[in-house]
Amino acid sequence: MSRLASLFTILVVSTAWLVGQTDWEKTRSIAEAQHEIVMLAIKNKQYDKVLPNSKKIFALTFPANREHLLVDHAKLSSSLLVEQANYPLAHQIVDEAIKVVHNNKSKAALLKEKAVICSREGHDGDAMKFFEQAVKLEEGKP
Amino acid sequence: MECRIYTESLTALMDGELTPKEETAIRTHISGCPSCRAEFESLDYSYRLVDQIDQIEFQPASWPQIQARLTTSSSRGFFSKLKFPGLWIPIGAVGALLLVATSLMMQFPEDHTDQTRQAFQSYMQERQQEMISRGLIQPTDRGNPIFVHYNPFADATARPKGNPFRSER
Repeated sequence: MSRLASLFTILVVSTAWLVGQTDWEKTRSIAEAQHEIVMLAIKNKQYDKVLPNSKKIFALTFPANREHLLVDHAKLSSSLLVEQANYPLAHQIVDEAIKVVHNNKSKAALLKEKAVICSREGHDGDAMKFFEQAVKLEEGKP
Repeated sequence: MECRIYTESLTALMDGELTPKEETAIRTHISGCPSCRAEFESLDYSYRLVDQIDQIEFQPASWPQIQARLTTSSSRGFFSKLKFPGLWIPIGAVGALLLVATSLMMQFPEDHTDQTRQAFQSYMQERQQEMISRGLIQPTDRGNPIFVHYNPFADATARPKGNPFRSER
């Protein structure tokens, strides 16, 4: 009887894991494709396609342990935009990312990215402001 | 209100500058009003005291001396002017303002300290190094880095470096 119960537990756990994996794989696959579209749109200077496609990634449900991927997406796309001196769009992407991330580490990383954009824009005062906010967030201050 | 009008005219009454009609009206009021009468008596006493002072005879020879003193007093040095008490009021006000401003600056230090700037500079360098080490960018001699592009569909199992959503299998 106990052997049957253990077998049932293993079955339930493995099914849940499989379902989770399938869901994640689906999310990851969509995000992967969308990221490529975003990067290509930036490289081809088709800026009107950047934010809508980026928003499709941010609309996906990311588990907390994968949130850093959203940060990476925002960092990569905004860095490329900064290289093309499209600072407003770079800010918009990072702002959209800030809206969807939940943990302070991710928020701090994105605020630092905003500081980098401001610095490259020549707005040193704003850069310091965002950097200080990020440091405070990392230190756990409100 | 009426008393105020009469008391304001008392000096004119003493100097004999009023018309007979006005003088009669004031004197009638003073006789019937104790406070105005007291005011008038006080003024009258002052006038009598002034009358007792001997008048100094004006000497025309001293006029150039007076004029010279008046001219030099306006062009006196800064330290001589310090003797004038009115000058201390603005000096005191400025000093107080400086004191307040200094205390406020000490209480609320400048937002962006050098320490923050240094921390930000080192973060920028670390970020650049991290992106290079992860293979996301390649540094160039011109300064602008090249963004490395990986197509995730070309090799799904090789975990392309340029895409954060790369397969983890």
